[in-house]
Amino acid sequence: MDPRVIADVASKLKHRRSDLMAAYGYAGVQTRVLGALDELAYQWKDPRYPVRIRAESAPGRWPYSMVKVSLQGLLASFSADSVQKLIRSEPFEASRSPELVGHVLADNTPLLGWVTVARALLVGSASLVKMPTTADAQWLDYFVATLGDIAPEIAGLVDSLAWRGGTASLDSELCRVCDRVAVYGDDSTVDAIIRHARSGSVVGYGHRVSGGIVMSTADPQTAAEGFAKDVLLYDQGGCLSPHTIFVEGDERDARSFGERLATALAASEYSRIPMPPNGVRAGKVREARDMARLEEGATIISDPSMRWTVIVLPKSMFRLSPTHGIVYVTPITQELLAGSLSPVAGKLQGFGLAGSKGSRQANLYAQLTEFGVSYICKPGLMQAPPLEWRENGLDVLRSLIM
Amino acid sequence: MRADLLQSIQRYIVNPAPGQFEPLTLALFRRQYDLNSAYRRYVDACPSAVGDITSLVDIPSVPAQAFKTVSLSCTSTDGCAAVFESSGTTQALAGKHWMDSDALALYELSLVQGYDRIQSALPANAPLWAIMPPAADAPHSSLSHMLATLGASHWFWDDWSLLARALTNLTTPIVLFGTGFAFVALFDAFPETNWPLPAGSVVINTGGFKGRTREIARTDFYSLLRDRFELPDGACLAEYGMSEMASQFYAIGEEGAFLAPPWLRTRIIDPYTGDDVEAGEPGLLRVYDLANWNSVLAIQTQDMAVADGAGFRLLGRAPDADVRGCSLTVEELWTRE
Repeated sequence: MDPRVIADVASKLKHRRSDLMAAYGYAGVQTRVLGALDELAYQWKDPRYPVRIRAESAPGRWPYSMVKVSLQGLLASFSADSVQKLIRSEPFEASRSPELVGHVLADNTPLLGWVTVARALLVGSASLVKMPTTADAQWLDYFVATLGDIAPEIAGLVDSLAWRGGTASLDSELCRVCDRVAVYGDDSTVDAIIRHARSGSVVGYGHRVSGGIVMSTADPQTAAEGFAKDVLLYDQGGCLSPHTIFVEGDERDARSFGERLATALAASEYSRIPMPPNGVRAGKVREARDMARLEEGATIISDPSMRWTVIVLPKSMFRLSPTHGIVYVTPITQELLAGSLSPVAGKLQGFGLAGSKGSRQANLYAQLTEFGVSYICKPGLMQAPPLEWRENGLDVLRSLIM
Repeated sequence: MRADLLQSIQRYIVNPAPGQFEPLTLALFRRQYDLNSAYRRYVDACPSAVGDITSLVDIPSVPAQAFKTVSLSCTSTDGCAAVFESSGTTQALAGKHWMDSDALALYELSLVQGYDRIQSALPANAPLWAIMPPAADAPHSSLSHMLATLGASHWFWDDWSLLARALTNLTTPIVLFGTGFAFVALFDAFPETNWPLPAGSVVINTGGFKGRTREIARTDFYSLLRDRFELPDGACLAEYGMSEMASQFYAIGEEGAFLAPPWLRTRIIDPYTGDDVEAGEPGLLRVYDLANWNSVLAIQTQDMAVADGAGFRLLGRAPDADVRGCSLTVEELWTRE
């Protein structure tokens, strides 16, 4: 692709935004965006809505049957009430709204485009989305198609192009034509974009990982079923996918929960959604299982089809999973939590929390927040963050403002 | 018993007798099971009982990654004569291959005997030039140790001008051995220069590029080698090894398959089943290296490969596997400088 294509698309988007601002003013545009998101949520809740029907029947890496969990959480936060609350919580000057926001998307989760583009629209900006060439672009397409049904003038503020990440000429052109660039990917992707961009113009969402805690007061069955869902969705590839689940108690408690989690993983409807055949993925799963055999006291419970693996380890420590449904379970005491998280301090994103109440909950929230955790929820909701989630601890709207 | 086995393996490497590989391998496995506590724990955690291991395919292979997390050594690491490290962005992430004096001697024997087996592709009595740090400067680089053992007479590192001048002044054939990215760095430093090597010369490249310098497709890389050194395809060789192994594979020409010496065998494994793939299907490369005396003889790599005649072709490392390969240790050194 020639960099001029990016410049042309950017120019078109800026003109449309300019026309829209001239016609309705900033407040008018924002009102229309609010209304469009609210209506979008309403439409998608209707099983007869044609774009939803299309999504339900479409094949793809992330089928509707998997995405629906995240969709429910996100759509609830698209309601006018929720969005107004978000806007009130992050006040900004309309005059500092960027004309054009660039978005560099990873392909590990399907609704990233919905979230980041919705935020950009809410601050009054047009959006140019850079998709990876490997990505299934259909979920962003559904979003834009729905906006097109509801508010074509708003849909006209969004366009996407795909190119291979790391293509310097194209990445630098994107940075040149956009006032702000929101980058989702690993740290090296974020760093690469920063190198091309004007100082301070990149909002980077780099590599983050998540975990879970099962308190002794939790209903272990509910916790296991919830975490099974959190692990299986998107092949555990999201930054909110749990890598390690801490179980309050001793080694026996951890093993017991690990067995329960394995049963829940096997029974989950999401484990029956097959992953496309992929020898590399299978090799990594096999390697992780083999590596666990080297660990003293490890218990490995695994699925013959390689969809999931539970590895119970006696030592309290946050372990990074190679993803692909591989989750570590380890015992913990509340006092030990800080030490167990220290290896990943600053790289934590979310935690599923089962069974904590009152002051213990407050204490845990405080500890987790201190380690950079920005999203705490019940098991089963880790892949369903709302629009207002302060991802990476950032103001999601104000971070886009110039 | 130990001395008998070691001598038997040494004899086999020098003069491989038919039917001896599997018995020697099983004996070495038994030794490693008995003396290497981390490996014993691993084997005991595998589904098959150790008593049921009666053939090569039964021997549990450890992931190459395991060298990063545990000490796979039959002797105390304190008493080891050498440790060779795989790449890793930090010292803590580097894989460590511990060798006692017996293992080091067997390693060196394997290096020399393996290199001897490709002598017909090399110019007679030609000097060996190494594009990598000398072993004294990189004591934990298996690649530098290998080239020293093979008798490299000239070493070039971090001064591409010096190498470029030396190549220009050549009048007699050489063997030029370097990492893929070192060759690319040389070519990039002198984009307009060709170095027509004297007839009979050979270049041997090893290692990949992933995440290092710039990546080049294999076909383009071989084109560059042929064009810039003005060599025929048969003079462009490749070596495949890793710090976790004591033996190497060699391939001749762009289309050549990697071939193993008799004391090194491979299987290509279906990652789903753990069994051998169907003929011609891609899978993960597993190696059985009889020269791995002190660590573990059976290693499961994350390299995808496909069988080709008596050898195999590499399909590249699993895309999201860690960047590794012995040549990268060299680059790390370079990066630090």
